[in-house]
Amino acid sequence: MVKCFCNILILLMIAACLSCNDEAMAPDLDYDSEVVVFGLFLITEKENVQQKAIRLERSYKVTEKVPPSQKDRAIKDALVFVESKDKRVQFEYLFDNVYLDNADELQLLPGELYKLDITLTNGHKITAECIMPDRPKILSPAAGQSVAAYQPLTVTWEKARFAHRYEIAIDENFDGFQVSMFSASDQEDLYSFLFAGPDRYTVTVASLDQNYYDYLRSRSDREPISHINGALGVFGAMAYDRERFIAMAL
Amino acid sequence: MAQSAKSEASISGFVRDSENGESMPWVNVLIKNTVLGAATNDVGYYIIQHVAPGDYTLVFTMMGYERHEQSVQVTTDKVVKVDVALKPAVVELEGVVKTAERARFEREVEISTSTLTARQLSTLPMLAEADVFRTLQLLPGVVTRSDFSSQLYVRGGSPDENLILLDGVSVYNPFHLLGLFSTFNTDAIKEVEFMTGGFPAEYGGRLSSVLSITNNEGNAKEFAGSVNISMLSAKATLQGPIPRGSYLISARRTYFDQIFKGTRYDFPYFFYDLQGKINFDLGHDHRLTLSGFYGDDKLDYDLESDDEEDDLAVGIDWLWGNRTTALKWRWLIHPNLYSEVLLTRSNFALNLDLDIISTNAVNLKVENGILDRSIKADLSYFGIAEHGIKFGVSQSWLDFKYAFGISGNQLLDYETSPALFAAYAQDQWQFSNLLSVRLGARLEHYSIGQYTTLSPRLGLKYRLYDNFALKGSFGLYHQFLTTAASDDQNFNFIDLWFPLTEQYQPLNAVHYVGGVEWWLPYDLIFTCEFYHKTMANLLEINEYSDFNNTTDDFFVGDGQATGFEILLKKSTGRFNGWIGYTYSRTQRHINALTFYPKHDRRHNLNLVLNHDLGRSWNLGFVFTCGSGTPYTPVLGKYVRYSWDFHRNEVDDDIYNRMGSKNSQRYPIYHRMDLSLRKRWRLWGLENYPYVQIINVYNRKNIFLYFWDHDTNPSKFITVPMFPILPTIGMEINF
Repeated sequence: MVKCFCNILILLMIAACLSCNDEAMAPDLDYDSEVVVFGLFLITEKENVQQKAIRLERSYKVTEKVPPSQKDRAIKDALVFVESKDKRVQFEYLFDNVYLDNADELQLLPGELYKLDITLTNGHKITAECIMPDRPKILSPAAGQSVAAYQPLTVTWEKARFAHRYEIAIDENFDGFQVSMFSASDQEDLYSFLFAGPDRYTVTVASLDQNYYDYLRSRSDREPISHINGALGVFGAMAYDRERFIAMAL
Repeated sequence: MAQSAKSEASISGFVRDSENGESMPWVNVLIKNTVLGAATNDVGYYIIQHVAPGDYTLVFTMMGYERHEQSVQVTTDKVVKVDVALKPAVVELEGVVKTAERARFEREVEISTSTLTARQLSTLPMLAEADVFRTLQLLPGVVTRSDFSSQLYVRGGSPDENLILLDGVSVYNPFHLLGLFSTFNTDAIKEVEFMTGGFPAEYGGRLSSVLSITNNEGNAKEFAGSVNISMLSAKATLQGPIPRGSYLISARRTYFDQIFKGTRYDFPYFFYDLQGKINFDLGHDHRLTLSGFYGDDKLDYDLESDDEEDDLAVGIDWLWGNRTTALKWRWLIHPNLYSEVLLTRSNFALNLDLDIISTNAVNLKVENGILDRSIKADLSYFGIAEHGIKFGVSQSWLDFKYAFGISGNQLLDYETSPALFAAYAQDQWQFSNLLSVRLGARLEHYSIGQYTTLSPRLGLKYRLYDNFALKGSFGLYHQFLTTAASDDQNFNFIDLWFPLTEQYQPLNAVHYVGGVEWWLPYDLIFTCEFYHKTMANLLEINEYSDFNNTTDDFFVGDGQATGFEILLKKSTGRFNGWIGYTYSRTQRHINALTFYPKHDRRHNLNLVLNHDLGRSWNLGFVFTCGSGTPYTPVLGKYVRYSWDFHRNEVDDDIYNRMGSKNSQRYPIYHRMDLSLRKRWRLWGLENYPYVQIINVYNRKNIFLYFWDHDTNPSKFITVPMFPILPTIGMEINF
């Protein structure tokens, strides 16, 4: 029995030693590149400033080098259309990875349904829809208002029509303090403002459609929540209001 | 308990160890020159019924103890009490007397049950020091996900599906050092019983397994103690007699925080645990036992930034631990009716106090706690021939607390207090000389949602030959508490327990187990078991939960596990141990995905050997080998854009594009551990210096893969598990 044990031990030692120096190699797994869309329709705090940009790129195999410039990553020869209730507008490739409504034919209107229709040169179709939310109105902190530094900050706003959720962002104008959070309400207490010292700040409250909200909240290595057929990414809409205020030491 | 004949007379009593007074389970008790006999139960009690009047000789045998014979006179319809104390044998006579395992084989309907003794725990090589959970990981049916965790995945189940009992008290987070070590001090342990499936009706509330740890009762004959110093901790155990009873106290504390204090390696973390037990005999038929376990982990860390312009300082005060207290009243109401009433209190508490001081001082407080107060009564009735009846009730009142505050602002303060009632009855029926049946049912009522469940249990044993038995079991199991763990988590430091809310049905599982047990020459035991387990209403945390939606915190799914286990074991002699092989296949169906969870290790081989080399040397050897566990591969990557309000333009970052969930497997895992112990007498003390080497040949087992996208092209990174880890220690007994 003991001899048997010793023999087993020696054999195991040899077998194990032979395998102990395996250097782990990255497994070579197949991956077909996908189309990545970032289409965000935006109504800014100024009523007449709207952004309508569709970015088209492709994804890469994990072992590949990613071209550093957007232009080199772009899919440039796609047919990109966006259709509203009464208009179908072609977005043209202009620079980097961006397709734009160059003639500014499409008006972004709250409650309006927009349909994205992309056709690649190989015939691949990408479709998506989004509804433009209305702009929220920040009630507090009001423009120029002074608030207490190092204290929780209460942000309130008037709810916007067609908004699925809100994103509230605070940015320090001349330094690095930045926080953001989501809300379904019309008021949030930002406890992270306990870290914010005396300075000038900007508060932004953005109403998000469901597509962009789901895209933002699925920021992890899991499968992102995408509402696009035939591609990865988002075709969403957002409208925001913004105010500047001052935080002062008590 | 065996019985025969027509007389109402019986012989009963308790069997103890003569040296320390510990109760002795599974001692074989026979009436010489008859077929009448019994085995002691888990508290050393036996009863032989229906003995005809006359003069007899009782024979008590147990492996490792001298045979004891005692004359007894039985008169009509009388109960004769015979308590004995067995003397440990100087020389172990292999194969002459029965082991506890053999007694269990002959008398119990047990399936998927393993027992470990203190000796087995202390002689196997383990990381730094003996550890119950790491030893259990070497048994068939048990899988571990990594070297860094002592959690147990039993037959496809998750760690929160294991019922962990210390002297009958539930322990909710039995880990130290964020899961690296189990919380139980092996120096205080008497026996570990582990049921991996088909467990009887007396146990409930968990889907997968029952781990019941019994601590020593304390030496009732003389004062004794031991000191054990490993590279992890220092331990001391003291035990001795008190009037009409005994006590035991055992303490352990890590000491590296003290050694490195003030040096550049200063890390102000430690854990300790303290276990105690006091037994008090109130006459022959009553015994009170008060036991407690108190253990904490504490991190008290202050960090200041080296940057003079940056005035950042962080102070962490983190304390978490378990506290259990139990008062047990054992009452032999009648020789045929044995009862135990248990009052227990089990508390897990986590308190994190974080001070962040820059230009302002901000304080974060996190609190999580479980308080379980239970009362339990178990009765065993031996009055019906061929039947061993057990029944009982229990009621638990649970309090869960979750709190989070910032600088005095309470953002979360949630408490919930469910109650859980259970009643069970089971009968082990010796249907014929060949067939034994264990029938039972468990009724449970959970106050949140008013769920009432009934769980039937069935166990069968058919002794085809004297040394060969066929076994089978079936059982339905329910669970009302769960942890918020995700299969995708690679680290799971501390489990947060949640009671099910009204919207979730109780988790349930059905076990089907079949197998054989075959006693071979040289006390070798061969067992082979097949199992199939279905699980339903399993919960997995939804990482994309919409924080404004309280109904999507968990995904509900189901799963199944199928496999077989082969075990060849030898518990006696100078050369003992086991070889265990497990094939298992575990699947989950959650959130429209069917996948193999991360603990789906298909093949697992464990070779565990302990050899008395002579001249007081002892060698422990463990070789474990398993097929790779699943992981989700990174196939691609993409630039992900989002709107940056600060810069008023799009921001970009590189994100992984993952393949199918858990569709790839890590390379094969294998590791060899060795330990060498020497018994050495010095100044009248028994010393056991030991050396242990974990991962003798420094195998680079893979813990995880990831891709670093900070370089272009991205860099493939592998994180290995334990490298070669030699440790030394010393145990001193007095």
